[in-house]
Amino acid sequence: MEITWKELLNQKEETKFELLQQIYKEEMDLNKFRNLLLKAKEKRELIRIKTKEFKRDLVESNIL
Amino acid sequence: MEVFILQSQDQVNKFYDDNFATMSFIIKNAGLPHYHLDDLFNESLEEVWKINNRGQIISNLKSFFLNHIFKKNALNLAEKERKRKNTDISENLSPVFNVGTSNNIESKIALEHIEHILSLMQPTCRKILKYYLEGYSNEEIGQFMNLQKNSVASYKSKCLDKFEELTLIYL
Repeated sequence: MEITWKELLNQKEETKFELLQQIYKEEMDLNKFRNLLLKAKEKRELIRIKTKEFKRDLVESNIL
Repeated sequence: MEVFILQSQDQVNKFYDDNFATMSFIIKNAGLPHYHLDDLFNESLEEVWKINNRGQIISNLKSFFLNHIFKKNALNLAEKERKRKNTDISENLSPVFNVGTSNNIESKIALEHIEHILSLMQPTCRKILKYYLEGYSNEEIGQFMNLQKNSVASYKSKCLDKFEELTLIYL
């Protein structure tokens, strides 16, 4: 759910904080997914570096 | 809401590998350098996650991701890059001074805003509201903090008022 602070503060008292609770939970879940994507990206970069090193080692050892 | 299909790093990276060739093709056709691929991939997958979270049914993740989201984001980025390059040099020579016009009350609610407001509160209020926002009941919060259920309800009400007050002052 994407709403502005102004829209939230204009809500009725009983729904205002329920909405905030819902948004907080969604934001926390999104943050977890964002972290998962960043970790996955780091892993891909690490694999790329290792692959490059492996190829370089093969060239240096005259296998390729 | 459907649980998003990609739940682990390995699943994300398999999805990346499976779509690498098509993503490279889209990036190339949009006229973007290849190094944008990883960031565009993450940005686009995050967007798909949000759409899924809103309850929209995505029947074919691969097709939806590539044809609707990734392609759109690549074209948008290419357009931005073009505009950036075409910006008149004279604009860069005459700086524009921003006179505090930003008003965060009009901005979308983000996690960092909520965390910021919470950080301004007294420790007891901060703890109670954090548990509340995480979805715990008054009884559970009482157990965590050694408080009676009624005391939690009373604290929570005062803390929520304070939260609103701080939002208006410090946001």
